[in-house]
Order: sequence, then structure tokens, then C-alpha cells
Amino acid sequence: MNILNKKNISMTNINTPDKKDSNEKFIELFRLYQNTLNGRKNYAGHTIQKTAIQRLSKDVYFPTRRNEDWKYTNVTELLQPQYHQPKFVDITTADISPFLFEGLDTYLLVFVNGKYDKTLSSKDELSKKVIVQDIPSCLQEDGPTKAIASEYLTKWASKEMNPFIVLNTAFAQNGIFIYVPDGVVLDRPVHILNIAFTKDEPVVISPQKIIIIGENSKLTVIETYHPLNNSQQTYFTNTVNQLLLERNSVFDHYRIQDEGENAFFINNTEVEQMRESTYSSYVIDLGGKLVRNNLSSILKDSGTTTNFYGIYVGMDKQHIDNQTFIDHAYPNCKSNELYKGILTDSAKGVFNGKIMVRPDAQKTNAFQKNHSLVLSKSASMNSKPQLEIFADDVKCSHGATIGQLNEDSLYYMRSRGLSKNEAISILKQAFLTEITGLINIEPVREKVEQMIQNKFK
Amino acid sequence: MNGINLQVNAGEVHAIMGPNGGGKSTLAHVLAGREGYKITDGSITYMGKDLLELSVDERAREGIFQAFQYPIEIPGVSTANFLKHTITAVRKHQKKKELSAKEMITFIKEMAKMVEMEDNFLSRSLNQGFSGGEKKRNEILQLAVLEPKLAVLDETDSGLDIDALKIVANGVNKLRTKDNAFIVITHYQRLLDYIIPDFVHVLYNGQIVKSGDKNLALKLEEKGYDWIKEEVEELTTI
Repeated sequence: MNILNKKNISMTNINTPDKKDSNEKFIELFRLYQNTLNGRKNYAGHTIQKTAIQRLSKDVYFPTRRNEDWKYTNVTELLQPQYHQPKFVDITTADISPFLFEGLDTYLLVFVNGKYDKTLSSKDELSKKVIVQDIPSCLQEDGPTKAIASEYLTKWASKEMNPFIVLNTAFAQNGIFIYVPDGVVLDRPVHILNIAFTKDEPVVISPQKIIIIGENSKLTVIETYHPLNNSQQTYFTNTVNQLLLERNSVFDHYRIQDEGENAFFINNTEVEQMRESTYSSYVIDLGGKLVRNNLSSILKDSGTTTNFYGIYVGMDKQHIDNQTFIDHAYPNCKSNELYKGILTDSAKGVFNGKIMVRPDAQKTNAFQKNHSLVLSKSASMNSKPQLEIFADDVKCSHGATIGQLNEDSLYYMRSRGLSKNEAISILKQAFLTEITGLINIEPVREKVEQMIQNKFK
Repeated sequence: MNGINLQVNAGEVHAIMGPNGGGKSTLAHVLAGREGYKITDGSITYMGKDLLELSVDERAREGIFQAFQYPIEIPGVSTANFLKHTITAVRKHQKKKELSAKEMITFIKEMAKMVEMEDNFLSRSLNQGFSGGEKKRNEILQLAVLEPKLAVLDETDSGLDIDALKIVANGVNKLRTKDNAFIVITHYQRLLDYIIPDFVHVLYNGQIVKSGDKNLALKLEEKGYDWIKEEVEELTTI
């Protein structure tokens, strides 16, 4: 069982008035949303959604500071607005072009406010190689995807204790199911472009993905999150990913988050890895007012490789919280985590990396590093490694540093004619090169470096 | 520093020698604008400007270059990238013609050849994994591409074998013009066999206690610093 959930159970019986209010607001939003379903109330997905929302009046509550996992991250502001379901927005090719990767051919799937945009996407092309289906139709039709989709969604609706996953289950309208059949090495990455747009009302956007990579298959997914036109609007992106890597499969997963400055972003990604599979996650967090990522990989057989890489750049009053969990339950598995971030102004960063090495997980290699630059008096970083090791023939290590820029390096650069600001900018970029250098898709790496540089300006 | 009077004209090479602790590095640092030093009296005029009013990066853009005794490593910043940024910054300030990307690379590679550095080092992080000799040659490379009016070489020869020393000296000699000047700080005379100075000054107890031409360097090589120290003591006891 996921350790994150375990902790939530023991602490969530606190009915503070504010927390009940938040639940009420979402329950009410669901009531309104039901009225827009237009006769689709009988479909299988709706039952699951109702089960999920009912949990908010039963046993699921939003976290307070007393939850250990939310000690440093306060969700009061996130829960404050009266959210609305997002409206349908028509956007053009010109609108999305700044968000594409120059020089990279991809299978593009565009979601606007969580709703799939058929005209801008290349789903048909992708469907020739893999199964791509929206989740409501998976549940409705009697196809090969029905059982798996049902299983996950039912589990989230009825057993999941994480309130954000439950919320997502209640409100997701256009979840997407991708199944890469055995032995398929996809020739191009899949770019899932998420665009948020709202004019006046705060909206909650619920992207949902189930991705299964078959035996010996290979898939690259690049998820990006942007507001249209650098929006200052308040919105809440609450995204859930469930990933299953079958035997010997390889999944490279990029997530580049550049949400609006008043946006809230919560991401729950759970990975299950079967024998000898390789999962590599690259998360880049640049935007958002409050960001919380839960990333976990449950190793369900031996010989797996898990790489968690992350970059976070916080400015102004941003709050970026990364929680990771790797469950080594089998022998001979390797995991490697490296998260680096730069915090300035009054930004706050949090990193909590949990690693569980169970008694049978002999010959585990688990390494974790978190390095942060905290460059102003009001910025701060909280870094907590949590290793629970129950096997005795393992190699595990963890390390964290929190520091400033090297004064000697600054001086050296200035002595060559670079202004203080220019030197600081170059050194900040250099600090993150350790991770951007790992991005092996050149156009993605270039764009990420450019986005980071733009943020520094 | 206990009172230094020094005039360096265009086209000249001044060697500053002296025993350890005499103030050689302090002089270099003060000229470059390193923080942590307070000028209690006196002034430094550079090309008619009050140098003490300028910050370290302003001085560099005005054409002052310091080749460090211990060049540091900066991981994550490629040498090529670093050179491009600094060349651009300095040239822009001096209103020199902007170099295209191609011109820039050609220029850098040409200078690299002069200090016998392979092209592959350009993609490596600045000074990372470089040997002592490579680091010093990289300092001279930077000198070459930034084209300073005044170059201060702070014990550039320390830790170098004779071959590396020759390459460094060769580079400096190629860069000497009638419009620029060099202050070569060195503990040993050896370097001055290859970079022939116009003037040699001995810095002791924070003061220039003796000045001469290149022959002074040879005398120091022969006799060491003790005779200077004795001379100074005699003068002070009179």
C-alpha cells in the first residue's frame, strides 16, 4: 500500500470548520456540474464520479498542517475560491504554436481546460500505432480497455484517501487512456499539451491519464502545462496520472509546468513497474503559485530502473513542493533521484523523498540527492529524506545541500567583464545544467533551458 | 601596502618580484578590484580615470585583465559559452564591432591555437579537470580574446613546468603591442627569461624597495632576496 495514503488515514478525522466548507463547495460544484451532463447520467463513468464526490461528505478531507506530508504546504489559499467547471474555449493553431517544440515531430494531443481538442490534435495518427481512447468511452464501451479503466477509477472513487485524487475522479471529463501494445517502439514522442484559460471565474481543471506500456515497448510522453496568454487568472489544475510499465518496457516521462502566476497545480502520478522496466521522470516546475507533486513508483518485480529528476525555480511568493516515493519490494532494482532548485525573493521549496526498501529487496541500489540554491533572505527550502531500509545487502544513500552561489565563481566572472546580474544568471543556469543536460531530446532541452533563462530575466 | 608609487606606460612590461608576503598578490587584487581591501590613502589612475571608483566588472570592461594565480573551476559553464559572454560584454562596452557567432568561434579557436589548447576543451566546463598548466594557459587564452589594455599576471608561472611556461610566455609575447601594458608578478626570475621586462620592481613589506631593468632580475636570481632585505634594514636603522 502507498505509504503516503497510510499517513493520511490516521490524521484526517479532524473536522475543522474551514475544511468542511471546502468539501461543501466541491460537493455543490458537482451538483451544478451534474445538471450539465444532459442525459449522460446513466453512463458507467457517472456512477463512479458520484461515488467519488460522496466521499467528500464521508471520509475524505483536505489536508491540514497536522498531516505530516503537508507540514510545509498550506492548502488554505488553494481551497479558498468558489471554483467553477471550466467553459469550452476555441483556440487556434497560432495560440498553441509558442508551446510547441521547434524542430521536434510529435504526436500532439491538445487539451484546453481539460477538454480534448480534436482539431488541433493528431490522435488519429497516433491511433494507428497505439490505442488512444478517452476514458469515458473506455468505461462505456465493451472493449479491451474497459476492465483496466474501471479498476483504476473504481479504486480511486471508493478506496483512495488522497483527496485530490478523489476530486479528480469526480470532475475529470476527458481523461485519456493510452495503451502501447507489446513490442511497439513509438517513433515520435507524444506531446500532451494542456492549456488553461479562464476570463473571470476561477476554474478547476482535471486532466486524467492512464498509460500502459506493453512488454518490450518504448514510449516518450512530454506533458506541458501553460495558461493561454500568460494569464493572471486563478485556476486550479488537479492532474492524476496512473502509469503501468510491463516487463522490459521503457518510459521517458517529461512534465514541464509553466502555469500562471496565480494558478494552483497539484499532480499525483503513480507508477507501477514490472520486471526489468525503466521509468525516467523529468519534472520541470517553473510556474504556479502553489505547486505540489506526488510522484511514486511501486516496483512490482526485480531488475527495474527508476530515475526521478526534477528542477524547480521559485520566485516572488511561489511555493513548490515535491514529494517522491519509491517502493523497493523486489531484489536487484535501481533507483536514482536528483532534484535541484533555485529559490529567490520569498519563494519556498519543499522536497520530501521517501524510499522504502523491503526485506526481500536485496541488492537494491537507491540513491537520492536534493540540492537547492536559496538566494535571498526570505526564500527558504525544506528538504527531508526518508529512507526506511529493511534489507541488509543494499547500497543506499541520500544527500541534500542548501546554499548560495559560489562567491569565487561570481568574482571570477565579474573580473572578465560580466556584470553581477549576468554572472548570477549564468551561474544559476549552470547549476541546473546537471539536470537539463540529462534531457536527451535536443529540442526539449533547448526549450527548457530557454524557459528557465526567460524566468531568470 | 605601505606606499606604492608606480607608473606603467603603454607598451611597457613591468615585473614585480619579491619575497612571499611582500604584497605582490595584494597589489594584483587591488588593481583588479577585489573586495576585502580598503584603500586608506592614495589613488590609482588608469587611462585618466580614477580606477578606485570602478567595480571589478567595470574595470574589466575598461580593459584591465588579471590572470589569476589559482584559477577556479566553474562546473556547468562551458568554456566556449563563458568566453562568448565575456567577449560580448567587453566588446560592447568598448564599442568594438559585434562578432557574429561564426566570427566568434573562429577568433576563439585561433587564440586557442596560440596557447596550444585543443578544440575539445571548449565544450568542457570552465577549468574543470584541467591540469595546472592548462588552467594557466586558459588564463592567457582569455587575455588573448579580451584584448586588455593592462594585463596583470599574478604568479602565472607558479606550478608550471618549463614547457608550459614557454607556451604562456610565448602567448604573452605575441600579444604585446605598443598600446598595451603588462604587470608580471612573479616570485622566480625564470619567467623573465622569456618575457623580457622593461622594468623590474622589488616589493617588500608592502613597498617597492628597488627598481631596475631586467638585470635586477638576474641579480636576484643569483643572490636571492636576502641582500635586499639587508639593504632595507640598513636604510631604516640609519
